[in-house]
Amino acid sequence: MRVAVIGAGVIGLSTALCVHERFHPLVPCLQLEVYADRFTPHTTSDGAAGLWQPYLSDHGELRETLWNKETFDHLLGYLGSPDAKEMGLFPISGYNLFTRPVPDPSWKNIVLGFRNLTPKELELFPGYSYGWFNTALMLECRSYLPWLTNRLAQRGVKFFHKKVGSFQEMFAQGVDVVINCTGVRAGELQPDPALQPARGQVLKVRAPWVKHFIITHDMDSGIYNSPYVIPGSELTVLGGIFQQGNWNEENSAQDHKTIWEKCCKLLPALQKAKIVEEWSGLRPARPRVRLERETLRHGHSQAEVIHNYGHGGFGITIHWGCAMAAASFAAASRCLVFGLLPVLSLPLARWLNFLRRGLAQPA
Amino acid sequence: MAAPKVAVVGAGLIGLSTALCISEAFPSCRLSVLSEQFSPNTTGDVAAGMLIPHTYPGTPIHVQKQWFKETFTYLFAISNSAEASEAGIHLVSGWQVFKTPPKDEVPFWSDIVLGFRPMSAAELQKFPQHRSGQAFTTLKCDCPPYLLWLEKRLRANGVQVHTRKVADLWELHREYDVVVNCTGIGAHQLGGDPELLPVRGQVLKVHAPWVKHFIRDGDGSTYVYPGIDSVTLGGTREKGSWSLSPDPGTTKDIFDRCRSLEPSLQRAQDVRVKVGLRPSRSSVRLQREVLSRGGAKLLVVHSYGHGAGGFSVHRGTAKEATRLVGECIAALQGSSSRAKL
Repeated sequence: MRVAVIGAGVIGLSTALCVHERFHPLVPCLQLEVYADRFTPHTTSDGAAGLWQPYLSDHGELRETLWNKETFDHLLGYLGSPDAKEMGLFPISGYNLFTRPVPDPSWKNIVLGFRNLTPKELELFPGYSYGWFNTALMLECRSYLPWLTNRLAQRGVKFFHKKVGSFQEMFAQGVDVVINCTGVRAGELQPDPALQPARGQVLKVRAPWVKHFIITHDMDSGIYNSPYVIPGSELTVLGGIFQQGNWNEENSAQDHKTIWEKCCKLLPALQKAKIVEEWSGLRPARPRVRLERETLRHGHSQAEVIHNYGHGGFGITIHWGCAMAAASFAAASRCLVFGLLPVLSLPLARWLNFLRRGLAQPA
Repeated sequence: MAAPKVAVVGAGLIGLSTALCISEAFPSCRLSVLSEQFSPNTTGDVAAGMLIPHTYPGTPIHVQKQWFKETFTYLFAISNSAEASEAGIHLVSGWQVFKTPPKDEVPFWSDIVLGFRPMSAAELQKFPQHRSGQAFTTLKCDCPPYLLWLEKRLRANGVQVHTRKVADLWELHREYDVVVNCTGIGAHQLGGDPELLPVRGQVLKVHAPWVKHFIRDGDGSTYVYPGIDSVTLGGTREKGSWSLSPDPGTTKDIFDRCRSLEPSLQRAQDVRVKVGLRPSRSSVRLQREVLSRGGAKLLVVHSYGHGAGGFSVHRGTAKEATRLVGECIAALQGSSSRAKL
């Protein structure tokens, strides 16, 4: 029983872990493999600051709000544990700033201590007249992805550093289920006009006196096209670039200037901060996340692909909820069910419950 | 009368901030700072520098609130400026948690710090041993940076700074007209104040840069205060102890208590142990005194005994001491013009 995950960013690795955790006890012959042409620290996830925060509006995608919540609660559970530092996980509080009043976000009751900013607090941010304060989480992928990788390796999951050319290539090799976590380049495996790059650029500076995240919003120019400052465990990330349709992964001098000037205007003390790194990445933007099962013909038989891509600028925020949903789709996959045949000796109730969990997810 | 010669004795937090205030209010006076110790060897260098007030039993609350407000406002402006990182001033949010309900549900300073509110049940889940708490945002003055920044501002204002041990304030009477006594716990050696006692504090400074929030147990004995380059873990309050030597048993105890508030501290590195003697008194001694011997006089302004609350009120007491210096200068000018008649 071979399952191949394509992609080793936060989505690929967490989905692989979820699948293995859920199925290995029941399907001991399960062989799980991860294929990717880029591994940490070269994935899109690695460049992101790692702040848990969804977009301002869920556009009615209630299942995405649920997946965000599942991710937050899952991470919260790890906070006091010995793993937290190795995972790159820690709590962080901060500010979301607006130039006019806005409705509360879908995630206001997911984060901790959500409230509006007081007039005194707004004095810190001239030009902004409204805002929120809340406590959220940071999950730095430069630590989290190696942590996931270690857990997968301990479980005997195999990694292959190669670029997969097609789903058929996997099926021809004998893979039964493919889980497609290819992010912004999913279109290379199957055209998807809804998927577009949303290019971002960040500066990473040494500013250890900054203890809060500060995200500004310009409701006219759109999400993340307004300056933001996010302090990590070692460096502080400065950003504010969101360019739909731009595939360029090279740093732009113009964007550098925009980020630096706008962030220094927001936080004058940053003028003294030393710039240590610069990075550009492509958010895999899509109107909604593509998380569904697709059956493809392979010769005379059928094979399954589970798609899990298009997480835009909220991949880290939503990753665990999506991983669990993708694993549930895998549970309902016919191939996996056949893989369960040797396990028919289990009590019927337990077997039916296992299937029911998988079939309950809408396609 | 020639420009009055004023000496501030003590170059810790109180001495430097008081001298700065005097130099701003009386630019024409000839001001010097005299001290045996300088940063990083002052009591303030050991402290975390958190703006969370200590309550002085001997001072009216409205006065303490005024001092805190002046200090907070002053530092808030610096934290918002390009100088913030050099001055070591930064905002920090966090929680004060209680095992038993606090005496004051809403402390006198709650409307001066930012965003003060009770913690929600969800937030309290992070502190299973505690039953209630307060969340707010306040300021932190990191030392040495803040003291070095104050000294830089003083020198830019033309203030002379000298390393000198003053064994007796009277020894200054020939060189200075007014002496401001900001010697902190050192005032004990200058003699005569039985109310001043050391309260020993031991702290750990550790490298744990993922800790972004302060956590303080409402009983005041255990706290985690993240600074620019280190996190201060505390602490102890040992009344009457003069020992400046770190105690290893205490180090372990502080670490255990702080880890129960913040488990990730298990991974902290680079542990440095420091000890300071809080110059404690039921109220800050802020008063004038005239020393006179054999026809000679020395005008003294005392500003010491800030105990655990120095950072929280320093600008407020500096302004009050400056006002008292102003009274001294006026008195000198008054007697000088009388002498001319």
